[in-house]
Amino acid sequence: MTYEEFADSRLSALLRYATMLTGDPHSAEDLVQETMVRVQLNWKRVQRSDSPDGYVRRMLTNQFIELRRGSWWRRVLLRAEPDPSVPVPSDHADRSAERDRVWSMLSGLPRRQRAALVLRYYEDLPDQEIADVLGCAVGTVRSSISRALATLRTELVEAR
Amino acid sequence: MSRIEEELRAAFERHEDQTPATGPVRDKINIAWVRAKRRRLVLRTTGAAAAVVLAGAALPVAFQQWHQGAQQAPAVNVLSSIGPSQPAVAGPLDVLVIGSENRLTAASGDPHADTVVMIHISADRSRAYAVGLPRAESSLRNTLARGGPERTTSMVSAFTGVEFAATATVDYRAFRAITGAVNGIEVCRSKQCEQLDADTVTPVLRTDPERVLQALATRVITDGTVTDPARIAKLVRAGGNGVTMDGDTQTLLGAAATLADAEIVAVSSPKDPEDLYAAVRSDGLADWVLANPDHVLR
Repeated sequence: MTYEEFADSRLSALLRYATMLTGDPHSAEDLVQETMVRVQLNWKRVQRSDSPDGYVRRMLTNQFIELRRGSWWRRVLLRAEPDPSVPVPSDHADRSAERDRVWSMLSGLPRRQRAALVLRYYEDLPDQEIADVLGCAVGTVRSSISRALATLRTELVEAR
Repeated sequence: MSRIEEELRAAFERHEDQTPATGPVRDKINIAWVRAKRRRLVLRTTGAAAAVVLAGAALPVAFQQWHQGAQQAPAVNVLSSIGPSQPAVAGPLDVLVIGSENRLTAASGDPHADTVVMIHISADRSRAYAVGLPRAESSLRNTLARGGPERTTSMVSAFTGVEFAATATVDYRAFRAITGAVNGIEVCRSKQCEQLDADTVTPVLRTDPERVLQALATRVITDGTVTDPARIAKLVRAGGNGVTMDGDTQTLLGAAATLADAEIVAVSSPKDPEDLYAAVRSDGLADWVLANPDHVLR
């Protein structure tokens, strides 16, 4: 597989995944762009791996979790756009604001926990594969997901 | 499945339509990739610059000419972008070049500092001196294996009193590759000249490193390589992997960019080198060379 073929077939899925991770399309674009440049730089290694797809997902996830090291976050900070995930309060927006509360609460979670949630409830990966992506034990995946769910549950109850 | 889990799934699904379109992102990636490649080329050029520095400080001349060339031909703007943007550095500049038999990056095998040459660029930038250090110093040879280039550099600093702005470590394969890339060099010893190519340069490099550096530098300057971006690029590729730079590369490149022209003088160490080291420290090599013509390799 060439890099071009990989990008053709996988770019949209990566963008969707990055959107769920970052919660905002601009950050998602930057994250994917940064990752794909690295993918191209290291294409031979990516190609040789058992699953190029999984390898790239791991790269992107790491980049997201360790965002202080990458430059995409600096760009996001510099851009300083209002966070679109925070609902603007208005009368007719109340219903959707209520519905989007879970979504906006996700941004308050530690990045690792958010990534675990996205991998399980959006990408539908089994816990073992989530552990592979995050580079930790299956037990750690389960505990961080249950901790994240507990946080969300508490906040939802408080908000209502 | 709990309520919160269902809400999460629903929230993710609802926001799928926020996903950016692939087309524009693909374009942005391509633009970023071109930039990343250019950065990498600049880094490699630094490596090649080191290769040419070790080739007897021809680099300063090369940079100057790239810079001048760039004003006429925009094709070489990548190379020229390094030079003029660096602030000028006043004062003399010393660089240590360590030639090593083994690749430093290799896990196995002990790299030995087989060749140690000081490059001294005079404050007025009119001359660059390649001063060969006595290689018989077995303790010096072993420093590279024990403590890497830093250790070799600090040891040379200790016995010469010279502070080095940068250290270039080059394995012999890079020397061979660069020699091959310039289609061979002519090395003269006691009025007998010898044509060397990639396969025959190594033994001479062990015995007369400063002559090889001088010959390489002269070759690069006189055959017009420094003015030809394509040939520079070839040299870059040839030397790139076998060259490591430590220390203040920026200062080195900055100083290089201020040079208009430089004569390359190869100097061998006398039995009692204290005067020579003192001349390097005080930037007084011009006088030393006049007083010690026997140690100038021409």
